Amino acid sequence: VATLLLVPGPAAAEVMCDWFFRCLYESPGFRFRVVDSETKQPLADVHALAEWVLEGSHGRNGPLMVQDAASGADGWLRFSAWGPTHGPRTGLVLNLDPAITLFKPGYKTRLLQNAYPPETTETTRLRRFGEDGKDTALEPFRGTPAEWIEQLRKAVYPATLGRPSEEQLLQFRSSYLKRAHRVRAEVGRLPQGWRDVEDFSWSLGRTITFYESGSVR
Amino acid sequence: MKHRRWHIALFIGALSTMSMEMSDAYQFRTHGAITEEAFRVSRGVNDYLQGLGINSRDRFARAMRTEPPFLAFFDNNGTPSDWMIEGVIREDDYTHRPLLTPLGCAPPSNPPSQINRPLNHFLDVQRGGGGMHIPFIVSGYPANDWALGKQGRSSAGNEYSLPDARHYQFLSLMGPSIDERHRDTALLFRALGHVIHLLQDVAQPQHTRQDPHSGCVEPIGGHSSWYEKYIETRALTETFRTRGRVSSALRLDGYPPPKLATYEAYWTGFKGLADFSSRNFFSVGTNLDVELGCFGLPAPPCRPDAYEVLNQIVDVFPVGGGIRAGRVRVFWHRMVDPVTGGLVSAQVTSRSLWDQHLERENLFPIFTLNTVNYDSAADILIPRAVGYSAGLLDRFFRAKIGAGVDEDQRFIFHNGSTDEIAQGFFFVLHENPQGVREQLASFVLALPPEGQSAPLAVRKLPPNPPPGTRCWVVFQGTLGEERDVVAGSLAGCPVESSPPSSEGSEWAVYTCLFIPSIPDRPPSPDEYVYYTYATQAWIVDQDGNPAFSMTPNWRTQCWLSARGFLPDGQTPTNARLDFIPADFVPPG
Repeated sequence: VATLLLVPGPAAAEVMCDWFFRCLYESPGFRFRVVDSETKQPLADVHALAEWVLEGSHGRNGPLMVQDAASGADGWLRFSAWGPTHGPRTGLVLNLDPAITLFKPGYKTRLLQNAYPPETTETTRLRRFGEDGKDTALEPFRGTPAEWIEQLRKAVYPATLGRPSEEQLLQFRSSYLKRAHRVRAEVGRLPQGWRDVEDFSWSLGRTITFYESGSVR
Repeated sequence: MKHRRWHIALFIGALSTMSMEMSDAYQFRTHGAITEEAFRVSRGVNDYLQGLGINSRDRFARAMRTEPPFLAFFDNNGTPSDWMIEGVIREDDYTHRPLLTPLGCAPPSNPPSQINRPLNHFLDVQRGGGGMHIPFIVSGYPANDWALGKQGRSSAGNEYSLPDARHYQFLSLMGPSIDERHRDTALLFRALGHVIHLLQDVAQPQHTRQDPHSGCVEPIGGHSSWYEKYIETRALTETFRTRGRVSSALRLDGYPPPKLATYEAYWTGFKGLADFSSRNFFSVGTNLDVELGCFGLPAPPCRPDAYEVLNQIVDVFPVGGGIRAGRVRVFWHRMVDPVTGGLVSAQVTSRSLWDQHLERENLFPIFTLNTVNYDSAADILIPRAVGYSAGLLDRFFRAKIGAGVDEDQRFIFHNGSTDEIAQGFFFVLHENPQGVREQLASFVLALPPEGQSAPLAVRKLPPNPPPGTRCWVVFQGTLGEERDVVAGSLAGCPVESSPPSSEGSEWAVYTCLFIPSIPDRPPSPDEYVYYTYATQAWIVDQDGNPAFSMTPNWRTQCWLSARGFLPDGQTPTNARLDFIPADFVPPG
């Protein structure tokens, strides 16, 4: 009876992780196509930043893995398989395994959350992407420069990660830098001398400096 | 529970020498949203900034900020509100304990911290008012003591308590250089963010019912809080677990800031927020469990028949996908709001076959808390977290000290409080166009409520001060029964009179609005009094011209309507020439 009581239930299928703290995670890779929500035509040069977000003691705890990709003329975005990779027993956040932010100038920044398959728990090893092979749409942006800055802010500072550590961010700095440079190019097209632009530009500059040098000093 | 005790026995030895974090809190963006709204609705904060001539979008010491990637991607632009949000996020900083990482505890991702702040985020109001305490393993200070600097305050401990905020506030007004003042302004608002974090946390019943939820060494530290995870998805309007739609936006508004007699009263006591959340709501680890006597917590009642029970059909989200209709027996609890006296009802617990996520069916019905309960609790508790945070900020900034300059360039200080004596130091400061501040005078005074001082002579500036010259009055002393209160506001500069002009004498004419004080009710617009006030001792703006508007006392606002010369000896007709006293009662 005691043995039965101690056996993890069906929801805790990852015995090695749940009982022996040896947790592995992996992704089989996936792809999806991005289209314009109005014309339904494929969108080229959409930048996608995929983050597999860790659960933490104090909320979300940064990425276990980050990949980025840009769509070709056919609108397809492809993410390669990774893992198995060691991770903590707190697991990955369901729905943010991965969380993908899609960015393209002229379109609203979109957060795509994983619609995870049945029976997945935080510690499930193989993390499939629920939208694999499907179309996803971006909505054209129509608004003021201030509203556009908010879209840019979402692209470079998505709130999905919680509080990542310096090591986590620097480990994936190339992906973050690609996103930051794309956003900076957009900031350069905004009316300069305007306070909101200056504020965002200053902030973004420091973030890029951090990713490039590992320090903002 | 048997399971839990077995684990405790296993880990207790290994952990006995460690301190570890035991709590989560409302997550980062939830705290950010509550704080942003509290800042917006706090009349006290906004009056304080306005009185100092600070725009809420002005920036302070941005280079000192925590960069967005380490601040839950919040972009602190250096405004007072942003600094407060930085403080509210950084109150969850904790130390790195490498020994705990192999046990599944996530290492901290905050900048290095010497202290485990979250240990001090609990307040067990129903069992003596202590903080987090697990014998031989961990103990923390009560949240209110930590926030108010009664315990744990030191250079190696908490440097962002309420007394620290006062210290930074004083330096932010008295510092000689702009850089020093800006740094201390940033620290003032950051410290206030730390303080109100502790108030917001007690609007989460796990923090007031001793229910650890760190998600770290779970048999001891408790499971991570699904309530907080779910509420964070509402703050971010993201989807939660199997839900196919995004969570509804947090309800933040609807609870006016309470005005309570002490800071302590915002946490504990008849109207305390910790008492309200602890005595009216369950938490997942202290749910309605008759067998266990509800863990020794007397309220809410430990009897199922004390609740109105309704069978409710709710959306459930089976792990196989899709949405189904599921039956849940919901327990409604009716409570009295101690501040407003109004009745409030909440779905405080559930009994059903469905688990806490409304995703899996059990063999037998169980008491659970699910998103139905979480929404019900959050819609009551989050607006109160906003209201109480704003109420505490109103109390912190309630001192209203101003000064006018009479025609002999003497200062008349006034106390804008309607019910508290202000006694202590009153400083007059002068700032040159380069931003360097110096003290012109200081006085020790005691001013009754709505009272004013006699005219007091101070050192005067030479005639025609350069554009950008400004003056302030600063108060530091006792207001009512609170010691070390600080307040400040812009004031006119005392200036030596110019030699007579051949063109005559220059006058500034103001149109003023006086709002009378009427006992027990606000005055109606018909009772407002408009009058004309002419002066040659005007308050100067940054360019040395008469200020566009001024507030001679806290019931009077004046706007510049004319400026010109009259032959010497003549005065503007139909205008009051005297300084407007605090007890001004217009004729008729």
